Amino acid sequence: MSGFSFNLLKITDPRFRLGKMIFSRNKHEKILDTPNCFVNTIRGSVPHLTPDNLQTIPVDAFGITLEHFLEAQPPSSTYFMGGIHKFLNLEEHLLFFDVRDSEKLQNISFGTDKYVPAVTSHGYRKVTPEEYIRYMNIYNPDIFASMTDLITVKNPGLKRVKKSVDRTLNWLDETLEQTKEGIQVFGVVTGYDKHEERERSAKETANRNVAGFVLNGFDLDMTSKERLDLMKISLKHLPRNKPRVAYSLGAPEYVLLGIFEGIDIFNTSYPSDMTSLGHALTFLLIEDGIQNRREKFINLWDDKYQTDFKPILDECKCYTCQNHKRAYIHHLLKAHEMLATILLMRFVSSCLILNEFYLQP
Amino acid sequence: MKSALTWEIIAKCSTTKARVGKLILPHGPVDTPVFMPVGTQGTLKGITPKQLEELGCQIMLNNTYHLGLKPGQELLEQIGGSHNFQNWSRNLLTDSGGFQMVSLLKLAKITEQGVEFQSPHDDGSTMLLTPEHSISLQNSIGADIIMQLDDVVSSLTTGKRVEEAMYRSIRWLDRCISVHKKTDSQNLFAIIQGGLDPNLRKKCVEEMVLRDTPGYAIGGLSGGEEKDTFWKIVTLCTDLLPKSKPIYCMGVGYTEDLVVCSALGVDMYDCVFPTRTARFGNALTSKGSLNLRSVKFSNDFQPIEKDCDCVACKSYTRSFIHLQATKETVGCHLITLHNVAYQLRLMRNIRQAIIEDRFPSFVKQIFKDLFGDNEKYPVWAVNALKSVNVDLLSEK
Repeated sequence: MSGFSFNLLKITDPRFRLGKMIFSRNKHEKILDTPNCFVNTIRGSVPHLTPDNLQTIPVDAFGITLEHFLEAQPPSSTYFMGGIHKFLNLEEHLLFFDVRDSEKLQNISFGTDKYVPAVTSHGYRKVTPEEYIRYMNIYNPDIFASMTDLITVKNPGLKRVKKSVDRTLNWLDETLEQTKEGIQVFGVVTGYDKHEERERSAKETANRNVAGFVLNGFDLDMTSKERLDLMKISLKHLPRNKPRVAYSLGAPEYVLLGIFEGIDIFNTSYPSDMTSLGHALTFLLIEDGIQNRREKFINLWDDKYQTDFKPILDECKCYTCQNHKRAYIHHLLKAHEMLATILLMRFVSSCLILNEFYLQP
Repeated sequence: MKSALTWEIIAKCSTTKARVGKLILPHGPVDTPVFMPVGTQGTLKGITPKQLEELGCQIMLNNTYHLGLKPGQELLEQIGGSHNFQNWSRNLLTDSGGFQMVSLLKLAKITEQGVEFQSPHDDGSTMLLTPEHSISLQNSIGADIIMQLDDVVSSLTTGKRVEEAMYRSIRWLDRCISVHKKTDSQNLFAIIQGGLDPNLRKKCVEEMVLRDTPGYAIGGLSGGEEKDTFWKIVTLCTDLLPKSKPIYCMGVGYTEDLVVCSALGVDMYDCVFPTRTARFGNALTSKGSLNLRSVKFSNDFQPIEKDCDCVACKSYTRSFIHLQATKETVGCHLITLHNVAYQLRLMRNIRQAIIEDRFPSFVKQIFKDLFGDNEKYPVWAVNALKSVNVDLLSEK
């Protein structure tokens, strides 16, 4: 027996929502408190983190991208008899799938009504909705976003955007028919910068029997503010009782703004992006927003950290701060040692996740 | 010479020259024979100190040359040494920096004073690494075992140069001893040179033993020489060196080399091979090396090695690691963790086999698993083991 429910907790401030997503499968229950985030993986792994390093970080859910598995088609992992949670050694976590990584979308050939293009290290692939659904039924993730027609040309015209909304809706219908019980389908609300299409996509998707919504369909060049403004249009037409996932709003100030607009889940590569730059987050959330006294992050490449023998953040309880000093991480970065990225990833991930919970009253 | 270690032989093989020892160093015990993984720049690439500890590693290497450049002697002095800097509470061994000088740098010129080389800072200036400076750097790094600066020649060199290098290494050993300030916390090992010439090796051992250092290394090998000559020099040195002190063969790391040299009486080893090959996607197993980048592993749902209890084998299949190998850093970390686990387990098994006095049959099983058909056994290994009464080719 499997089930899914999303309950909003009663709080007095109508601007934001506290919720609980409950997934139950075979008498096993997994809970996701919202607001929360899906941390993006690459090829199914959390950047730089082996299981023992990952286990101390309080992440509940991961975003997985099908495109990363498509060198062989069907992916070799679909021959694994145990499902995707077991294959990725993430059995205690919630897994959310999408076809492509919207944050790192490559400009490739066009899709059609019948398939979506994907890029792998061995070349192009085409993924039809039927194949996508078939793989999801084998993988058995907790949630997946139904197939989206993502536009990779700049400034698409109205006709092209209408087509993307129509395709996405048709694929959603096909998905809802063929998906196995127990796997939650989230409908994708798109529409790019065309306000009426945003509205139409939201209303039409809301008419379907989806478990939740994903707010996607943005120009790669759009700023977080532009995306959020467009999301607001979609959100006006989505029912309050179903969860909303926003892509690409990982920076802390946008997480806060998004929460005030009614977003429940943020899908993000923010931890690994910060890590690859050598940045360590140092902000703290306090009652009125982000603490202004401190910088948002420190750049550990800077030579001023050469003799800084403090941990990144004094009050932080993560492995990195409990065991290592800024000077050591600075040395590792300068020496191009991989331990630098591991330590930063653990720290940044811990920070981001823990900060999500600061808002709980 | 004052020693900051104790070493006790706790078991001896009744057939070969192998022995199990317990070394007590300032930062804890080390069971020998021991394999020491190499953490060149103050980190074992991609592994946290906690992970290394959990794998059971008791001692690892740092490189003096690299640490001397980055983060530099001054910072290491400020922070109180490399243990503190990398937060590794167990043992460290540093080499002198000499080998890197000669192998990594252009125009390294060796004089009686030291090794003169072009500064890596690209300003055309020359720098000089002397025995005194090497020890000073190693004192700042603070490793439990430090190595003398030796005059290293390639094992393929012949002629007068080899003899010159051997005698000069003795003189440099004396210079190292005279400036070594931290004899109560750091053990200076001498390095036996003499190339592939048994007479030179003998002479070197005679002289260096008189200096009575806490331990001895066999240097100048693992440089591409004929393996059949390699083992003969190793066994000559282990015959001649005092039995009451640990013997370290530098640069040895392949499974068959570790097993054979242990049979010949060696106690300590270091090599970059297991960790470096991991970063290229190769996993070490008792049946040989697996190149996990190969497409043949894409649908292989076994762990890297059955019965291996490392994080990689307990959490993932070959198929998953294949997906990551050389594409995502996690692939590199997983294979590194596995390879270090493999090496340390191999040494544990060697020690256990010696303690239970079944080392010869253990050796035979290792070769059988690794090579399969005994026609494939390397001839040098067969010869080396024969010299210590193990007939690799017989069934018993």
